[in-house]
Amino acid sequence: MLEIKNLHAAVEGKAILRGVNLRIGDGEVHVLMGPNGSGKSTLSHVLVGNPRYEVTEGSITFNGKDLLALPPEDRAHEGLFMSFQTPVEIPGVSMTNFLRAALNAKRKYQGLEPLPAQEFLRLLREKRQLVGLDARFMNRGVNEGFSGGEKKRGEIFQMAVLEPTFSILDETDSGLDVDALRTVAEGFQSLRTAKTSALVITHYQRMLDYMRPDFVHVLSEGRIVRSGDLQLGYDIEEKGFEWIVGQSE
Amino acid sequence: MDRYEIPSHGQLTRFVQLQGGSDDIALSLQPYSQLNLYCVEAEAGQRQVQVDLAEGSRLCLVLLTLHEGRSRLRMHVSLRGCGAEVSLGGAVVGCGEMVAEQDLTVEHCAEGCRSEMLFKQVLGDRSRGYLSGRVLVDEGAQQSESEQTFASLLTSGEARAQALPQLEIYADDVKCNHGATVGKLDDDALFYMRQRGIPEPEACLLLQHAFVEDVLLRIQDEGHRAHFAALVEQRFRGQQSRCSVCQHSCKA
Ligand SMILES: Nc1ncnc2c1ncn2[C@@H]1O[C@H](COP(=O)(O)OP(=O)(O)O)[C@@H](O)[C@H]1O
Ligand SMILES: [Mg+2]
Repeated sequence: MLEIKNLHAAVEGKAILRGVNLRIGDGEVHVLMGPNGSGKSTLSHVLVGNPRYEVTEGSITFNGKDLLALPPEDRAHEGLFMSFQTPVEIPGVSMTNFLRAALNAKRKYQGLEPLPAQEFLRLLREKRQLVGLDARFMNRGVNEGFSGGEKKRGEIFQMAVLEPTFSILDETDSGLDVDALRTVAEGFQSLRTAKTSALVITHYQRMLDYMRPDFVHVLSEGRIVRSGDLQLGYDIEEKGFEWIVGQSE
Repeated sequence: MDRYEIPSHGQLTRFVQLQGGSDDIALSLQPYSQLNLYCVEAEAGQRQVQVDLAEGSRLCLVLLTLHEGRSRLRMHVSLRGCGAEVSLGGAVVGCGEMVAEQDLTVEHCAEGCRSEMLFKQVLGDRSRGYLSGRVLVDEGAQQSESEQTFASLLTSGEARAQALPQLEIYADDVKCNHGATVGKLDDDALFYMRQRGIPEPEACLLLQHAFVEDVLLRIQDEGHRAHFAALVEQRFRGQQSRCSVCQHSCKA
C-alpha cells in the first residue's frame, strides 16, 4: 500500500528526516514511537503533503502512485488521512459545511454526484455517535472552542466520515482521558477493514493495547533505528528509548 | 441633494443598489423610528452621506462594496437625540485595481447613545482599501457607548489595506473600544482543509466567506442576507478566476 524509500526532508532549511525507509501493507497497523523532536510529526506532514516541509531526497509510492507528485487534496482523495497532533481551529467555517465540502470534493474526484443533503446529515449523525461527539459541535467553527479531547474526537469523527484507506494518527491519544480513549480507539477499530492501514504515533501502552499493531518502529534523529513487533512497544514503554538510541549509533 | 425622512415611530427596511456617479444624500430619522438599510455598491461612485438620528431612533446600515473602480464614501452620522443607536457594517471585496476609500464619522451629541462600526475588507490583486473611522463624543454626551472593529484580509502580496480607527472624547462617562487588524489567509487552516480533500480555491473561498460573515449576519432579514451572501460569493469566485498574483497559486 505505502512504500517510503530513503526519505529526506527539511523544514525551514533544517534537515529533519535523514533516510526513512518503511513499507506498510494492506490491512496493517504500524506504530511509530520515538523521542520528542525525532521527526514523527514531520514524517506525517510529509506524507500528506504539507508545503511547509520540503522533501530533499527519496520517494513515496502509494498504491503504485508517486505520492510526492500529488497535491495534498488529491492525496486525500486517494485515501490518505491525518489526525493532526494539533488540530487547527477554523472560526466561521462550521464542521458541517467543512465536511460537506470535503466529502463532495472526494466524490467528485471519484466521479460521483454530491451526497443528497438528507443522506449527508444522516451520515454525520451516525459517525458522531460512533465517537461520542455532541451535536452542538456541528454548527460551530471547526475545532473552535473545542477542548483538547474534543478536538481529538473530532479528528476521528472526520476520519469516520471520509473513510480513508490509510490513516495517520499523530498522538491522537494524548489529551484524551481513559474513557474517551476507549471510545475513540473502538471507533477506529470498527472502521478497519482488510484494505485499510494505519500509521499510529503514540507514547502510551494503552494505545498499543487497543491498536494491536503488526509492527512497531522507533524513529530517532530522522531515521528508523529499530523495528519489531508489539513487544518492542511494551519494552519501550517500560525502559524508555535510551537503550535503543544508544546502541544504534 | 436627496433627502429622506423616516417619520416618528416608523419602521422601514430598504435594499438599495448604488449606481455610479456622485450622490449627496441626507437621511433623517425622527424620534423612535427605525431604518434597516442594506446597500450594494456595485458601481464606483463619490458619495456623501449625512445621517441625523433623533431620540430613541435606530439605524442599521450594511454596505457591500463590490465595484471595480475607485470610490469614495464620506459619511457623517449625528446621534442627536438621547438613546439613539447606529450600527454600521461594511464589507469590501476588492480585486483588480479597485480602490475603495471610506471615511466615517459618528458623532455622539446626546446622552446614552450607542454606536457600532464593523468593517471588513478582503483585498486581492492590486486592490486598495482605506478605512478611516472616527468616533466623536461631544461634551455632555455622557453614557455613550461605542465600538469600532476594522479587519482586513490581504489575499495577494500586492494588495494594500489601511484602517484607522480614531476616538475623540470630550465627556468622562463613556465606554469606547476600538481595534484594527490586518492579516492574510491562515496557511495552517488552508492546509488542514486541503488535507481533508477540499481543493485550495474552495478552501480560500470558505475562509474568505467566514471572514466577512459577521458583517452579513447584521442583516436581520433572511432573504436579503442570502442575497448578499450570494453576491459576495460570486465576487470571490470572480476574484479567483482572474487572480494571477495570488500568493496561494489557486487554479480556479
Ligand atoms: N513547522 C515547523 N517549523 C519549524 N520547525 C519545525 C516545524 N515542525 C517541526 N520542526 C522541527 O523539526 C524537528 C522534529 O519535529 P517533529 O517532527 O514535530 O518531532 P516529533 O513529532 O517526533 O516530536 C524539531 O526539531 C522541530 O523543532
Ligand atoms: Mg509530534
